[in-house]
Amino acid sequence: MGNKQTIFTDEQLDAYQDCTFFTRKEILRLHSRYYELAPNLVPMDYTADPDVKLPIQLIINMPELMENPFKERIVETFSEDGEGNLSFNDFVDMFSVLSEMAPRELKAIYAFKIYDFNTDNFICKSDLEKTLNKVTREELTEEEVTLVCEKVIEEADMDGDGKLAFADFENMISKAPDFLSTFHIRI
Amino acid sequence: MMNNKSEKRRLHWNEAQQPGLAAHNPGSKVRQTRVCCEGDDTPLKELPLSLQEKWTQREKQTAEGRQISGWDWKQNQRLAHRKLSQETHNILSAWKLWKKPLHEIEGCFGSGCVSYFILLRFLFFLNFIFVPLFAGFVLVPTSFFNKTPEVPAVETLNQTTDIQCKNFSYRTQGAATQTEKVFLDIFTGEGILETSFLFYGHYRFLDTMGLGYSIRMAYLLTILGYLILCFLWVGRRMVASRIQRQWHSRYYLTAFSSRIFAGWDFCVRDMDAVSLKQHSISNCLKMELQEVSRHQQKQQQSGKEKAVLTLIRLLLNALILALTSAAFYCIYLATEVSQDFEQQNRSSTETFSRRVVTQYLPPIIISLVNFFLPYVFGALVRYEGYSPSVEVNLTLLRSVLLKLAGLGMFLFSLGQKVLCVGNRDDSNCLTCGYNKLYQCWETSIGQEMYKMTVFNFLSTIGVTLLVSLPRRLMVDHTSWKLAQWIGKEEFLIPQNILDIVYEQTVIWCGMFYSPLLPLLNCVFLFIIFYVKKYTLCHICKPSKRMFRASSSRFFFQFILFLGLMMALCPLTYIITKFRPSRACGLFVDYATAWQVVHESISTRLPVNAQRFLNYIGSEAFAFPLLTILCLVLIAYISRIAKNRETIEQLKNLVVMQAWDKSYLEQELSKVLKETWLGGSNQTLQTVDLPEAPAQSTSPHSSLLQSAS
Repeated sequence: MGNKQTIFTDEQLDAYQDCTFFTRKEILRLHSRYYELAPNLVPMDYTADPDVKLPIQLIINMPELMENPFKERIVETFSEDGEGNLSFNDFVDMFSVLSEMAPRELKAIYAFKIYDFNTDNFICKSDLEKTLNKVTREELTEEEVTLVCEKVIEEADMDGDGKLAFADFENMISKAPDFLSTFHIRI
Repeated sequence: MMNNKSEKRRLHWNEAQQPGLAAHNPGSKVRQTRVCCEGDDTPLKELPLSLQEKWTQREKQTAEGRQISGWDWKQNQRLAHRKLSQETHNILSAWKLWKKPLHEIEGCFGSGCVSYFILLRFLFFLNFIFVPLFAGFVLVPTSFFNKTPEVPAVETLNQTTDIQCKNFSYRTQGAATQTEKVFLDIFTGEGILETSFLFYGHYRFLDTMGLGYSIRMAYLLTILGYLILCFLWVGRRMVASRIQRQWHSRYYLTAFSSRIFAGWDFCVRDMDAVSLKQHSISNCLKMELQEVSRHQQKQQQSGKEKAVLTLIRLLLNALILALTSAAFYCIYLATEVSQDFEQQNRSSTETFSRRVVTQYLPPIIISLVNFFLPYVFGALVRYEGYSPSVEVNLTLLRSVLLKLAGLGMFLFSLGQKVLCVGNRDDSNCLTCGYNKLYQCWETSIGQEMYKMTVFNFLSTIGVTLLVSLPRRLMVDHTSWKLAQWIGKEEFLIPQNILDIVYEQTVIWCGMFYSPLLPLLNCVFLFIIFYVKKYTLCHICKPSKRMFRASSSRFFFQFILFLGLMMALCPLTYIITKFRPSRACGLFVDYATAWQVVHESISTRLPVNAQRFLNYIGSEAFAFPLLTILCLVLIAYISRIAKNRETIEQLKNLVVMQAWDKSYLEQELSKVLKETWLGGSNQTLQTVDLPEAPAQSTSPHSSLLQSAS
């Protein structure tokens, strides 16, 4: 195609294409979005693979994430240090998993991590309550919240330990056909 | 030292519980790699690793690939194939119609609303595909070759039938001015339009100068082939959405968990839409809780209450049937009146408005019926004692059946009038095999379908401009109490989807008699897309009910499929049983339109092919085929039952394994306590193990207990 871009080497772009669900054009577009977030921090030349991380405050102000109640959890899940500071690779990774071409198994793995607020690899009752409050903006009464959490554990928990392990979560997601279309951010 | 041991053991337990999951440990720089990546066939993109790790994996893979020479060719082929599919995907997606507007709608209103527009786009393409097919096979040859004068081909005609049945002339418009003539032609499909390619009557047999191209076969087979293509395509989409839905029994439904975890639409960006979504999710959860308590109440209902409820339901269903029959009778009457009026006033100079109104009488009555009766259904269903979601679905189902059956009734009454279905001994019907007042009956039926399509389109636009827009302006700019009480209109997705499915059914019904109807529908759908988008974004407020696109997808595909069957069945019946009109069209001298196919088979194909096709069309082929299909179906059904049993067993197995695990943990902690108490006098370091579940009385663990 012959378009001369100097941001990435061709080999880097090939690697991105193989490792994510994006095409060359989309990777370059993602880079321009990443650059717009902090023009003074993000270099235009990524051929040397610089180690630049943007803080969480900049990322969650993107229009795609701004109104999402899970924005902090999403960014924390995809960051290396768990604090929400994303390098460009983490940024691309995040949108790749949330794109519409990612398969359900992959999305389920990351959805489990996002909903696991205390990162103990289980979705326990407190995680459920936090998720519920974020999704309904606290319009349910205390009693209703407890009832709903009990119902969820009853429906999804298979091994009877009172919390959802990843196997329970994945099994429950496989019965929810909406999941693929709702767990998706378009950029 | 003991601290380290307990720490290690805790980590060990946590990891053992999730084999294969890449655990993300905040504080560690690198996420763990999945053990099973090594020999896996999963593409790199689908691995749950960070990008850095995927790169190292990729380098390793390419390094390995280069060593083994046999892999090189396969790897290259795979790479080339992947690149090709990616490029085609890019090109196709760049050409996708309306990508940006759909993106906007999804961002503002969520995936529920956008499903309506996606269905609209699908129907647009479905109609659009027919146009080049028909143009290539029929229109181009028709304009290229000359029309032959009528040559009696198959039957030797009776003189009297000739006079009575070939007495066709195009209707002269008695209207006064030129503009009135044009408008009348456009609205009623007569005059200019009747003599155009829009209707069947204009097509004639061609003199193809020895090329052997049969325009009759082309016309028949193009239309039938397209309908079969639609059948396969819609059927495939329906089956695909059915598999997604996975009908489970009540025990398997995950109503609450799927609403919480899969209910939040990550695509939504607008602040208002977000609060609306949160509101609708909390409403849904409250309704689900209500339904749970209601279910519990129902279990405790006495036998007498149940009997009373059943009686009420029977009465209400009978009432609904009665109302529907009354509505159908009205449609039948309207068709009769309209057709009689037309026949009596063939060349009179009735006023423009009166003619148009009587001609459009059936579509008007059908629209009124489809508009008012669903409200009646909705009011009656409240007394039937169902839960709210079942009420909504039942009302929707009844409206759909009403619409389709109304259309069927209209077709039947047309058939009775024009084709003498059911009254063959009528004086008008004896000579020609159809009602001789309709010399070119295919064009008449085509005109009715054309009027129906135009009326549907105009009423959609009319309702938007004359009802929705003033309502919104009134609510926004006035402070009348009435306006505030009526409120803004809600964009009801199911009703809108049913409207476009209904319009598509009308197109399919009328395609044979008016082949350019799909092209007309393409134009209409294009305009309706923008009208509806404007309605959604500026006039209506989004519906409070959360519309779950995936669970309803099967229902709407099924309705589309039903509509297609409703169009195909009468068409095949008419083609194979009724005499085509003698005065116009392509099949003037044949007893049925399908006879053309028999004739072509017997004159053009070799003997073996003829025998083969005759065998396929006979009962000797149909019965074994039916038997084989039944056997296959029985095999699948028994497999489903077996799988269900296996699922139950596996669930029990999972629960028992958890019990075993907790039992083993208890035993281990006992043993460790004894070891430490015995080994040293230091203060006990209790191992922090996950707590055991409440039920520890599994038969399995008691076996282990007795063994130890």
